[in-house]
Amino acid sequence: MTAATDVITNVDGTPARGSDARGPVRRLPWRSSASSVIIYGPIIAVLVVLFLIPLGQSIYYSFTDFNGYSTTAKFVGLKNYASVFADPSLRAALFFTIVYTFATVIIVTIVAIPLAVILDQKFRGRNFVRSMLFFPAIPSVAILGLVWSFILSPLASGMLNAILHALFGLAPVPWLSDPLLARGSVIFVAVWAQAGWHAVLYLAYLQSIPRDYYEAAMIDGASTRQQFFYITLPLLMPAMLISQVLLTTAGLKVYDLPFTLTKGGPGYVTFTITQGILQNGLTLGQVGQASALSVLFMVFVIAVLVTQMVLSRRAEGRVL
Amino acid sequence: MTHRRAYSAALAVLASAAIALSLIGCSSDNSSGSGGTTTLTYFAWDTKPLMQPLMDEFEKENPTIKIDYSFAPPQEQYNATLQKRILSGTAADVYMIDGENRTALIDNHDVTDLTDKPFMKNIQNGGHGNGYDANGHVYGMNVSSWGNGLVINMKLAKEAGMTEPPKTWAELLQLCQKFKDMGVTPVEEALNGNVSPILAALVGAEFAQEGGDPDAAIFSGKSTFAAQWTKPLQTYNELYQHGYATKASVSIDPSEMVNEFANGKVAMIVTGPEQVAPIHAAAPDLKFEYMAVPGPDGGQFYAGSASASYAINPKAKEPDAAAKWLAFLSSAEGAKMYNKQLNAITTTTNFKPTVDPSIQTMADGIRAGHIYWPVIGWKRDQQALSNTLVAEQQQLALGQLSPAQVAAGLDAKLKQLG
Repeated sequence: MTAATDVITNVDGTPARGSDARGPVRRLPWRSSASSVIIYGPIIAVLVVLFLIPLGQSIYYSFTDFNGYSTTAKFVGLKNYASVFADPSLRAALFFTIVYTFATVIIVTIVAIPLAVILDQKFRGRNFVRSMLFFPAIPSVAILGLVWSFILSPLASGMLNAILHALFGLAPVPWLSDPLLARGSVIFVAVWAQAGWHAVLYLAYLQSIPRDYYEAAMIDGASTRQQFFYITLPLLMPAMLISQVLLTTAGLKVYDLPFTLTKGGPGYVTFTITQGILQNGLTLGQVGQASALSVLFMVFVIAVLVTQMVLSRRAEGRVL
Repeated sequence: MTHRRAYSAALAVLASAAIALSLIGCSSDNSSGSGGTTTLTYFAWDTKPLMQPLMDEFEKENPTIKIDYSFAPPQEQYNATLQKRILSGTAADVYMIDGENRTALIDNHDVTDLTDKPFMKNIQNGGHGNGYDANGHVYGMNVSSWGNGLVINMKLAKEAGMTEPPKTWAELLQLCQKFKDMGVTPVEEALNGNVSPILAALVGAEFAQEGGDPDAAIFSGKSTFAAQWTKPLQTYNELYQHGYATKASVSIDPSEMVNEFANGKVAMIVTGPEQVAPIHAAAPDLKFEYMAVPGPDGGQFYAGSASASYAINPKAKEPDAAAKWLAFLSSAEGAKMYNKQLNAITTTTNFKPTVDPSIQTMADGIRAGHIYWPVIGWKRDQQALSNTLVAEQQQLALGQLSPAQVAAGLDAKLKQLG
C-alpha cells in the first residue's frame, strides 16, 4: 500500500501522470479543505445572500403582481414585461439612459486622456492641480447634483445666469428647464464629476509606459503629436478598456445625479431607467413591474458590456 | 490534531454566526415593560421636536403608557419604510396613511376600520369624505388639512392698483398684465416634481360647480379626464400662454421660489402656510397675504386636502393604547397643541385654530372645505397618475403639449394601469 508521500510510477518505472519526479503525489489534506471553507465560505455566503437570492426573488416577482404590502402574490405571466414596453415614460428613460451613457463615455475619454498627459508633465503646483481635478470624485454625487442645481438654476438669480448677466448682459438661460439644455446640463455635470478620476486612472498607466519608447521615437525624429498617437494612445488601450467599462456601467445605472438636478424632468427628458425601477418599485408599489424592468435591464446591460469588451479586446489586439 | 482544530474553529465560527443571526432576527417584546407600563409604538413623519410636547402631555395623562417614537421623512421614504415594516411584521401600532399609500393599505387590510370609534366624532363628518375612507368605512383620522394658495406681495399689488383680491380668473389675468407691465414676474410656481396647486384649485372649483363626484365618474368609466379636466387645463394654460408665469417654474424648487418672492422679483407665488416663517425671516418688512385661486366663474378654491391621517395597525400589539393616542390627538387639547406645534390648520370640530393673520382667509377656506387635491380625489393608482400629471404639466408649461393632450395623456395612463 502506498503512503501519501510515495512516488507513484508506471510499470516501466517512469513517474505516473500527476506525479512529480522531484517529489511525491500530493493528495489534498483535510486541513486544506477546512481552510478553504473558512476562507471562501463567508464570501460565498455573502454572494448567495446578497446577490443570488435577491436576483432569484426579482425574477420570481417579475412574473407576479406583488405590490410590496401583501405577502401573497398572484402569477400574471408576462404581463409585467409587456407593460414595460407599453409605458412611454420607460421608453423615454431608456432613450436618455443610452444617450447619457454614450455621451459620458465618449466625452470623459476625450477629456481625461489629454488631461492625464498634461498631469504627467512636470510643472509647479502639479500635485495641487491633480488633487483639485480628483476632488469631484470624493463627495456624494447627490450632493454634487444639489450644488449644481443651484449653479444652473434657470432663474435670473441662479449663480451662472447672474454671472453671465453681469459680464455679458445675457438674459437668463433655462439650463434646467429647457429639454435640450437640461439633458446637456446633466451630461456636463457628469463629465465634470468623472473626468478627474479617470484622468488619474490614465495617469497611472501613463507612468508605467517605459520612457525608452519615447527616447527611441525622439531619436527617430517623431514629433510630440506622433509620439502621442503612436506610442501613448496604443499603450493606453488597457486603461481605456477599464475606464470605458466603468463609465458604461456607471452610465447605465445612473440615478442620483439626474434626480437631484432635474428629478427626471422637464417632462421625461432626463428620466432614467434606474429612476423608473425605483419609482415603480418603491413609490408606486408596482414591485412586479419594477422587477420585470430590472430583469430586462440587467440582460441589456450584460449584452452591452460583453459587446464592449469583445470590441475593445479586438481593438487592443490590433493596436498592440 | 491540526485538522480537528481547523474544524473546531470552523464550527465555532458557524455557531457564533448562527447565534448572532438569530439574535438579529429577534424582536423585543414591547407589549409591556416592567411595572405594568405599556409601550405604544408610533411611526411618525413629523419630527420629534414638534411632536414631543404632545407625547409628553399624553404620557402625563396616561402614566401607564409610554410612546416609542420612530420617524421617517415624508413621503416616499416614509411610505417605503412603512411598506418594509408591514411586510416584515414590525410595523408600529400607529402610523400615517396618506394619499399615495391609502389604496394599498386599505386594499391589503393594513389599517383598522375607525368608523365607529368614539374619537371620530371630533372629526368633520366623522372622517367620511376625507379621502381616507372607502365603501362607507373610515380608515384614517385627520386632525388637520393643508392648503396652498396664491401669496401676493402687497406692496407690488398696491403699485399695480389692486384694492381687493381678484374675484374671477379674468381679474387675476388683468392683475398679472399690470405686474408684467411693471417689469415684475407676475406668477411663479415650483413645478419640479410637484403638481401645480393653481391647476388643482381650478379643477376643484370646476368640480364644485359641477357637483357630484367627477373623480368617481372618471374612475368608474362614466366620464374621462378629457371631459372633466380639459377646461381647467385651458384656463391654467393661459398663465403660460400670456407669459404671466415663468417657464423656469418647471425646474425650480419651493425654496428658490420663496427667495425670488422675498427679493421682490415675483409678485405672486403659490405655496402653503409652511412658508410664512421663511418669508418673514428672509424679508421681515415684506407685507404679503394668502388668497384663493379665483375660478373663471368666480369660485374661490385652494389646492389642498385632509392632511395625512393617523391609522391603527390591525396587528397592533397595543390597540387600546393606540386608540387613546388618537383620541388625545383629536381632543380639543390635542388639537390646540397640534395647531401650535405644527402650525397646522386643524379641522377638528372642537377647536378653532389660531393662525398667522396672513393665512386667516385661507384657513377659513380650508376649514370650509374649499380645497381639492387630485391625489385625494383619485380612487386608485394615485401616485402613478400624479407622476404622469407632473411630467405633462411641465410639458404644457413649455408649450410642448396642449391642454387636450395633457387630459388625453391622463386617460391613456389610467387605461394602461387597468
